[in-house]
Amino acid sequence: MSLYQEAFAQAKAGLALLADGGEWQAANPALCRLLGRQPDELCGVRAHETVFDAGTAGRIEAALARGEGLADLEVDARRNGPWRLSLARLRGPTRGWLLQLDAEDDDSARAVAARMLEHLSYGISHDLRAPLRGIAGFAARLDDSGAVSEAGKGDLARIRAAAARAERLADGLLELLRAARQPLRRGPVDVSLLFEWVAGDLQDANPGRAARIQVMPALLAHGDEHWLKTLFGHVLDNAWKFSAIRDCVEIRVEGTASDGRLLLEVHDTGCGFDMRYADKLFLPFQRLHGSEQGGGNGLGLSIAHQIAERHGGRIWGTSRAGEGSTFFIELPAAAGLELDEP
Amino acid sequence: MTRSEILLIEDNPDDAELTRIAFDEAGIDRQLVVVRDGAEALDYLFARGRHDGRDASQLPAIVLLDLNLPKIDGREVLQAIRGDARTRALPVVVLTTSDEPFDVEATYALGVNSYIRKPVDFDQFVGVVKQIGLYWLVLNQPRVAG
Repeated sequence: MSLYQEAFAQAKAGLALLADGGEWQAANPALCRLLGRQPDELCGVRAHETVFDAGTAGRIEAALARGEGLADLEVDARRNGPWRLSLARLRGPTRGWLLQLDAEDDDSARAVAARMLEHLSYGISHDLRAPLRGIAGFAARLDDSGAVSEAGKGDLARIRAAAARAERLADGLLELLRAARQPLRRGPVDVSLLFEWVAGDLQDANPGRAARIQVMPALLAHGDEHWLKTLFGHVLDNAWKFSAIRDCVEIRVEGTASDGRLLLEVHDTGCGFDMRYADKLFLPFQRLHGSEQGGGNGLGLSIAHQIAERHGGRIWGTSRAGEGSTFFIELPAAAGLELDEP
Repeated sequence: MTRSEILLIEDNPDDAELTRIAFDEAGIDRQLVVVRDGAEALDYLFARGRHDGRDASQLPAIVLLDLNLPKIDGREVLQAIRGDARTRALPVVVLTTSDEPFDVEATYALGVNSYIRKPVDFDQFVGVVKQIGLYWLVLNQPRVAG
């Protein structure tokens, strides 16, 4: 056995070598343990089609076809999990692929951090909101008591407004934490319907605002419906808020599917953002606009980013200040969509 | 039995006071009995311990239950209420700060009648209390004990 073969056999991560076309050639003992299969069940066949869920198998198939790898894909395991899957292109004397599967170790730093996040999230949900309600409630009470002067009433209004902002911040933080850790329930998702839905919610919340939101029909993705709706909601909300400079909100949602990926484009005609700060758009609490331009709690786009990443997708934005922005969202297309293409 | 009280199980004194004020402002004139933890809530309902001597057949019209409570927490209180024939049909509304999907799921599984997240804004809170009062004290037809 060569040094390399021995390293392959002893690695703690689950490893498999795939031929260029996707047939599995070798699987190490760690991978066989993770999958609960014998090496001869995995080798010589396109084993990813049978050992993973349909969504994951589709992603692997698309990556193989594209000739690009996959990084840190979260796998909905059939028996165990959660696992993280990567696929790397090998360009040695013979071309192939290295598939790697990592199980989450209970006392790994990652797992400890994940548990800490869970406690934090619970604490924000339960314990941070209670004192805010105290502040808002007793300020309201004082306001109603008649014991406060007109000047004092202004201060009380500021106290109440600050408590309300802190609440929105707590809610945003909670959503960000949940977007990072809640298991995804993947399936086919009608993207057009979800965009129409959140557009309707926005119009309902701002009945006096003129808006024209056009959504291309029949856009389909593979993902978690609840979280994709949240993602689209934040992107549309963002476009809506920063269109305050226009008499009419104009948003166009378009998309194209190819190679198992759906690329969505959300165009607005709002105030846009300075491309020099484009890399800050998706960081929590990084605002590119003041509140007078419609800036929110600084969390919406980070939540959107988190959800896109969890789906193995991407989100980015381009803009020309004063001329509007376009946000791009790349997601796994619904399985089967690419099969319909010639 | 027609004017029975509302039992509020709430450990945070600020929240208890705000709930009392909100019931006042909502014009609900039932007596609001406040207990600070789950153990006392069960003592009250089953007329034992500190509440020995209370007529246990006189149940509150509705129980408003916070989830995170000292000693016996809200879920266990709910379990005890649903586990005893005397209190099985008692309307229990969870009135809490959290909207953790886990909490919502778990309390419905334990047989809660309603799950309401307390808003931070006081005017909204008064609105919520009004609706609770209207629904559970006026519209809802309670089970007749016997």
